[in-house]
This record gives sequence, C-alpha cells and structure tokens, in this order.
Amino acid sequence: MQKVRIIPRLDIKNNTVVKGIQLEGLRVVGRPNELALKYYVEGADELLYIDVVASLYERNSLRAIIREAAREIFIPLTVGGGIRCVDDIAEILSSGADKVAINTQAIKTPHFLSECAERFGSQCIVLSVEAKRIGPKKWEAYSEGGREKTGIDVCEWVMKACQLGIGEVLLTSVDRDGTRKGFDLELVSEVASFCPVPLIVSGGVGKVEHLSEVLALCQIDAVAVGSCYHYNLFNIKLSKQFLRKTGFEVRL
Amino acid sequence: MKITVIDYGAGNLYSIRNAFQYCGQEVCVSGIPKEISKSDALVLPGVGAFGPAIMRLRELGIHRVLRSFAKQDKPILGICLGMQLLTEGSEEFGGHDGLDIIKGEVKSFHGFEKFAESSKVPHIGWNTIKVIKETQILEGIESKAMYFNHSFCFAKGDMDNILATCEYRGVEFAAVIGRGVIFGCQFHPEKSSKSGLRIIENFIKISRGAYE
Repeated sequence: MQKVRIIPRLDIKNNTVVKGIQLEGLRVVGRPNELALKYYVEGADELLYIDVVASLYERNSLRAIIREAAREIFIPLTVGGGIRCVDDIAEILSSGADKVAINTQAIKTPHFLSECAERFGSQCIVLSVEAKRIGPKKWEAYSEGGREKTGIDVCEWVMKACQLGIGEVLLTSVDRDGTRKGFDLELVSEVASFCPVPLIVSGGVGKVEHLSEVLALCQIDAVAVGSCYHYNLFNIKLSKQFLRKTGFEVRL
Repeated sequence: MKITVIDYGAGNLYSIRNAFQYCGQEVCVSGIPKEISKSDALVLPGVGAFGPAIMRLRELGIHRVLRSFAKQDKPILGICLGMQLLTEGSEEFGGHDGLDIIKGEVKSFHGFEKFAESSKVPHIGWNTIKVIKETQILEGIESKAMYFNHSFCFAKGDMDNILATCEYRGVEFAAVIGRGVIFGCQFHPEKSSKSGLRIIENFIKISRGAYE
C-alpha cells in the first residue's frame, strides 16, 4: 500500500512563518528553518513552503530560506506563492526545491502549466487550488492566495490542469483553513473521485482524527498540516502512530 | 579524490551537492567533458524526460566520458532519470537509446498488465525497497523507505544487475541497479532522509576504495 505523506505547511511572510484563519489575519509563528528542521527531525515526509505575500522582494528572501533549508534537510521541498514565469521556477529549483506549486499564474495563463511541465518535467509541477464553497457540490477557485474570485469551477479546473500535464494537485479549502474544524470532506472526495495525479489536501486539520477521517473516505496521497503542528496541538510522531493504528501505511 | 556531479541542465544539483557535503565529501559540479573525465567518480542526476536528457548528454559529449568511465570500472551513481539513462533505453515519447552501460530497458508504468487500473502516475512519495542482493551500496540502511518521483521504471534486464526492487500498484520494478562500481537509484537518495544519506555515504566509501 502506498504510504501517506505528512507534509507540514509553512506559510511565509517577511522571513517568518505565519498562520491565518481562512487565509486571513496572519499571526507570526516562528522562524522558517527552525520549524522546518524540527519537522524534518520529527519525521515529516515533505515540507511545503508557501509565500503568502508573493512580491519580488519576498520571492528572493524565500529563495534564501530554501537554500538554507536544503543544506541540512534531506526530504522533498515544495515551494509556492508568486510563481509567475519559468525563470522563477528555474531559480527556486536550483535553490534546492523539488517541486513548485502554481495557482494565480496558471489561472491567468493555463498553458503556462504545460510550458513548465515540458521544460522541467511534470513531476516538478503542482497545481495549487484554493477552493471556496459557493453551493452544494460547487466550489470556486480563488487566486492571489485565496483572496480573489475567479468564477472558475474547481473540478473543471483540476481536470483541465491534469490534461495540461501537471504532476500533482495541492487542494486547499479556503473555508476550512485555520479553523481546525476538519477538512471539507465533500470537496476532497469530489476531487479525489476523478483526479488522475497524486492529491495533497490542506486546510482544516484540528485533531489527529481529522487525518484518518479524510483518508478513510477517499484516495488521497498526502495531507498538509499547518496550525496543529505550529501550535503544538499534536505532533508528527503522534499523527503517524495514530494513522498506523487506524490502518494506514506511513513512513515511520 | 574528485567526485563530479554532472551538470547537463537536468536535475537538482544543489541538493545532491548538499547531501554529499553533509556526508563529508566536497563535490565538483561540471558540464564540461574534459573536467568530468578527470574525476575519480561521477554522479549523474536527472529530472524530466529521457529524450531531451540523452540528447543533451550527446550534444555536450558527456556520453563518451560516461561510457569510458564504465569501461575503466570507475564509480558512477545515476539518480532517478540518471539511473534510467545508464540503461539500454526508454520507450518514453517514442523511444530513445540510453548509454547502454547497464543492460535493461525503461518502460512506462501504464505499459504493465499488472498495473492497477486508475492508478496514479507519477509514482510520487515514500515507498519501501526490498534488498535482493547484499551489496556495499545498500549497507547499513535502517529504514528501507525511500522517496520516489517518476512515471517510468526499469522494466527488465539481467537479474544479476538488480540490487533492490520496489512495488507500486502491482508492478515490481528495480529500485537499485548495479554492475561492479556502477549504480543507479530510481529514488532520490538526496531526498530520502537518513537512509538516503547512508547510500550516499556508501557510494563515497566505494569511490574511495576504487581510488586507492
């Protein structure tokens, strides 16, 4: 059985890790690589760094953070936020990142995804989707870090992006992010029902049971966790032990 | 002793260099055949598609250096696509010849009958390898979970050259191949935490052994 990946999510602003609720109201949590190293040592399977400001200045400082992380952290690093062109991707990858997560630029220019997949390989390209519920079984994709409406249906967009050659999907529920109320299970199972590439879900973990709840429901490959780890509600070791106990394969 | 990581525009060179440095070995990074050929051991990284990668190696003249290294029994470590390039070839995007240093062919997961329907490709994530042959490159690895990210795999070849296997959705494929001091890892040792670093340490020891 495929091992589920546990991926701590680090939202970065001004060289610090921040955490918001529903992607707003950011609070400072700590220093990125201090947290990253802690998670690596505790058994994280991958690390997700998201630049929540997405300016040129911020992008340069995030590259420096990744370069430093890559010196002593030897698990995959996925980086997103503000990726606008192939040069941005080349720079991030050469700093030590393995994958890039793209949202806004892909919505503006969908064929940017196929351009990137051809240039760097599909396995480097993750589609980042910020999904907000607009009705029963209907979600709208948001851009600009979950702040701007796009009028685009999430499921249709994921399907299209898969056809354009992406390697993975990072699905975040804007409604659940930071709330600790659990995943938007309907959203996750809807996307999981057709997504042909590996799926990482994010947004809403509040207790360790939320992890097994979503895995029992549908085929997902990885779970990204923010608040719970940053605020030490429970840790990676406990997450993995619990998942093992409830019948899921994890890397111990 | 000089270990060179080959730069031909494909692969996470920085991470590989960091991993070797962490294990106590400085490495050079170069795409110039003359410099590469002066090395004592080589690392061939690779991320992306087989076709453009093999063409690039040929354009730069690096393919000759690699074949010459192999003839001289000098250590080579191929990583991910780098491992696939060492083989006879891949069927990716119409088919391409490889460096033919280790016998075997590379095939898409979809090409296997046993591949579970509706299985996802790429194979991304941590998976457990099974050691088939006890060799120095795999010595002392505690956890056998390694990080994979690939859509094609080493399908068939001389069983003698398969050192470890892995299973994904019904398909058993080669996770580590090797012949003499030439090795290939389908997973990324530089991204596989402690176990991956141990493989890199082992390659460094093997290279030192061959050098002395």
